Amino acid sequence: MEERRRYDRRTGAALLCLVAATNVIPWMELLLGQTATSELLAPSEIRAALGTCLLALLFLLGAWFSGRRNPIPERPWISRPRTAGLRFSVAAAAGNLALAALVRWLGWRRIFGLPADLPIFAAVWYLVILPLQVVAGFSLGRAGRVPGRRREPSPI
Amino acid sequence: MAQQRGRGFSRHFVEVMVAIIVASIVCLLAGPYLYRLYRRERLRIAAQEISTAISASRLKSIRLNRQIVLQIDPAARLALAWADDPPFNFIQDPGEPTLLRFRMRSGIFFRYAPSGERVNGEDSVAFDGYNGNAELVDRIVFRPDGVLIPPESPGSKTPLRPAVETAAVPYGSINCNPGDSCRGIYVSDRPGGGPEANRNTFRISVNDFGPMGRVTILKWLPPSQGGNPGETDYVPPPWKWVD
Repeated sequence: MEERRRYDRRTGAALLCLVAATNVIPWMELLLGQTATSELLAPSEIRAALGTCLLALLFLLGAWFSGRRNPIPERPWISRPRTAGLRFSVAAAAGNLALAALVRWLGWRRIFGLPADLPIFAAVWYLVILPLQVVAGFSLGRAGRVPGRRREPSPI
Repeated sequence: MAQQRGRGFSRHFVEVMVAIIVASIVCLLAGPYLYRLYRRERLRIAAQEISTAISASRLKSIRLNRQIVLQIDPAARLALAWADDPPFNFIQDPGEPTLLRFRMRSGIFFRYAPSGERVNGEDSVAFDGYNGNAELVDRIVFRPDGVLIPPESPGSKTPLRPAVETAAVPYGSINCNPGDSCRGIYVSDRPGGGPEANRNTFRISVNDFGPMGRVTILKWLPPSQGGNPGETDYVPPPWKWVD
């Protein structure tokens, strides 16, 4: 049982790393895209991007701690936290990568400009990707306490 | 009791370790991005500073109704502007006060692209030769009406328009061939040379296609990235970067 718990915790930590790392990519692509123009980056734009990455990291770790620490109710709203954690993590990471690809693609086509489109980008990220991450972090934290079903090791 | 306390400590330790590992991975990924951003911004800021100095010099010439000389010393990384009084010798004499002076940032190299001379070489600041004197180099001179006095050196010619306008070489681009001899101030992020050099080079100049032409910042576009064959193209934004 303890061995299973450790395994789930390791998987959870790896998925947390995946989500937190992919958060950086769309925001940095957005900043790098701006260097294709003659307008210099405003310090507020750099602060917004870096601050968001930091905020996302805090939210993710906070949700993970909360999942680990809070008592499990009689009828939990996440019945299979391990599966949910995996799915939400992959969805958040895929969302981040898709957003980064979109920023790059639009940048190449000269449709996207940071000052004009930062609010749209930020709205999409805050309303879609961040909630996914928070749920993923919480599920992964919970999964460390409620191990998923796994085949018993072979007696041989 | 002691066992429970030990388990609690172990749990805290694991959580802190996970938090540290996740934060470290974020930093590891963000680091290279931020470094690229820093390098690009450093070069763009240097180009903007030079462009601003040229614009300020031109404005001063119109406002004071005097001839203004802006001298760029690439070795000392110094830009210096003064009002040139008769006999208009393009040299700062005693009694000609400094109107503008700033030191350019480190980490950038004055060098022509693609295959210029060494860093800080003759062609890195190509505004050379005035009044028949080849010794008067590295200075931009504006008449009292703001019009550029064209430099006379064969290495400081007016640029040509590209033979063909394409998506990569749009309107506003220039071609420095034949002879790689057009005027401008060239700043680069790396000291290396060659036609396919792995570097980014900006050209800051003025009056490319007319006596009152604006100050432009253009970026070298290597043929491998879409530059016209046989040309040395400098293009306006959006720019492609070599990281």
